[in-house]
Amino acid sequence: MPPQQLLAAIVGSSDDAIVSKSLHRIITSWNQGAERLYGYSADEAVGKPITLIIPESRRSEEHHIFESVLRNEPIDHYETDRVRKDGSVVRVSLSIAPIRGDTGEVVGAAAIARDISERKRGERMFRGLLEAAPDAMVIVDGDARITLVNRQAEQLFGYERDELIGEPVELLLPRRLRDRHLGHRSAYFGNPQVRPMGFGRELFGLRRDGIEFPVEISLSPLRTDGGMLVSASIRDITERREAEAMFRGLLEAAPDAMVIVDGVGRITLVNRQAEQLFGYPREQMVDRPVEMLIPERVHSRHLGHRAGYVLDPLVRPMGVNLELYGLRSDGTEVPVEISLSPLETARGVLVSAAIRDITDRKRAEAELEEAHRAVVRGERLSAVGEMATVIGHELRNPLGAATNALYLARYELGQVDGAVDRHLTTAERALAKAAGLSEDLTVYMRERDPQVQTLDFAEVMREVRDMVRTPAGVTLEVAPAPAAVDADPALLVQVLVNLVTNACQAMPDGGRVTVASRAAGDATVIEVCDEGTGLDAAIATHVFEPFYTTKVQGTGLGLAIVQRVVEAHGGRVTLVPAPGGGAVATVRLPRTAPAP
Amino acid sequence: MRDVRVLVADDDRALRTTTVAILRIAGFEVSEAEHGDEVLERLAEAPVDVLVLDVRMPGRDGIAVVEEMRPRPPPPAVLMVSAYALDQEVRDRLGSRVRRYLRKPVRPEHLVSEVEEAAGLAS
Repeated sequence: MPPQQLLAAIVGSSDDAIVSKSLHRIITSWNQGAERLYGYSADEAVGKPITLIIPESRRSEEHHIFESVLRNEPIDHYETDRVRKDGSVVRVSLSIAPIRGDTGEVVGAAAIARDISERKRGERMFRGLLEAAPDAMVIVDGDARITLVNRQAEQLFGYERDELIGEPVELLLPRRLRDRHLGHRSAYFGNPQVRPMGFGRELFGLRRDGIEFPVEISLSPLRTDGGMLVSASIRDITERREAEAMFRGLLEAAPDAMVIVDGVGRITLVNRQAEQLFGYPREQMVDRPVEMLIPERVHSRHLGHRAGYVLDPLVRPMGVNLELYGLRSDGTEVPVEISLSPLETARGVLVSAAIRDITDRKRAEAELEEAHRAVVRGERLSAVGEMATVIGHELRNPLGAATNALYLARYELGQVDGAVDRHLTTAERALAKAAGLSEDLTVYMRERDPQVQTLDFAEVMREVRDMVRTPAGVTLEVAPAPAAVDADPALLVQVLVNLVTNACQAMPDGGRVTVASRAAGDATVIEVCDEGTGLDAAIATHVFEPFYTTKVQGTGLGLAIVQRVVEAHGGRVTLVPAPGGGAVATVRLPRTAPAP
Repeated sequence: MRDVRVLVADDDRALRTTTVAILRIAGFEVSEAEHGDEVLERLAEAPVDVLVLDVRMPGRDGIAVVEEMRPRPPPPAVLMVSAYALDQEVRDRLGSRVRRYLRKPVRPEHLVSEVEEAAGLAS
């Protein structure tokens, strides 16, 4: 194909509009691209002035351009407007070159136009998006030169847009990080993908005024006609860092151990107090299941509670009415009190547990209770206790005198009739009761270490039987096969007399009291059962307190004496309702005497 | 049969006089003392068969009285009466010189029978 024809073929098949014009601005050729772009056929266009496709507003501009071309100054990618046959305006990118005659003189001009309306719309949309982004956006080209920034980037870094365009992106980094950044960015261009920058490293930006600030950056590649660009979305996290620092400060300043756990029970954060309480450095706690801090016997229960808490997270104490224990690294347990509160975070609901070591408080409570009991039992004779002792003793002389006087009165009166006899009897009973109270007080207040020896229980019970006056209708049975027991003989008799008397008094309508003994490991267990009215759980907790009584008779000291004596032997006593009605008192005394 | 001579020693006047009256009604020859020194004086003046002796008295107490009693003439059978329980240690020290320890208040019938026993009258 001759060159002329070849050129014509190329021009004819081009997508671009290629139009030539004479020095008089008359259209001399019009390819198919021009037909598509402008809407005129070649027949319609050729021979017409070029103003056919130039809007009114662009005519003087065209005039200048043409002058330039005639002066042999080609125009490249000049953006302007053209008008179509249907009157609509089209945005084009124009390149114009002079056409020379055989002798080299300029005879006309050829204009190549490309419709850039679509691209322009796309660009506008992109710009709009860029400006609407909440974060600062910086777009760099393959040489890491800044090609586009948004308003937020200007504000964040303190530069005007014009000062940034064309500059290397390292301008926005602290100097100490620039060298490293060069390596990272070439690596990114080698494997571009949407991802956060830094892989967990702390990132910093540099403002124009030299101030650094912490940032979070997300990268994404943009493939364009002009090659690959990279868009960096940059967020200033100064405030978040400050909030985090404040949170950590608060966490460390908290008086309690703090353990923060995520939704699946993994420890995410602990403070120094938690390290001290549990005996682990924080690296050994973070990311491990919180159950590592909980005794194994409550693991399954805790899992259930934890799941329940996540469903209904409220600020509340943990384990209301439960004794809670933490598990330390050395395997020991520590009594704790725990308060829970939910933390709403981007990672879901975290649960913050404030854990307080209550060892000291428990000990103080125990000591207080023990001191209280000691006072109540008269182990430390308080003023009241001493007074009770004195009264117990000093009453005895007047009681004796009154008893004697009544005896003498009966003697002087001789045989007396009903009313006088009744009055004397009432006085005698009242005195006997007063004497009993005085005796009980004396025994209760007496400090005496038990003189423990191994006793034949059957022998002990014979003595008890002699001393207890069982009311009418009440029988006292001693179970066969008595066990040996180590105790102070007089004190054990006292204990059993009191228990049997108590049992008798629980059966105003008669019944049977059974006393049984048996060996139980390194202890002897003695049970006193009655068939009486039983007792409420509420009463059962008080029966051993001094002066606690529900009966008309009795001093309220009988069972208190029992408890004191049994505890002085290192034993324990309980009084509980019996399964078949009535009550059972159980005395457990350790075997302390060496075996014979 | 000669009368059984009983000495009642107690610093509580009401208790002492009623005790004396009861023992007299029971047929004993009864004298009284209100402190330890007086007991020792009475014992020196005339023999006593049974001594009902309170532990706590002003001056010499019952324990001192027992410890200072002369072996001759034969000392009385002592019924030691006390509002307090006496330590085993004291009991061990006094040994057989005390026939019986009785806790106040002692029922009159019981006291009479104890005195009778001590005098060798009862069964």
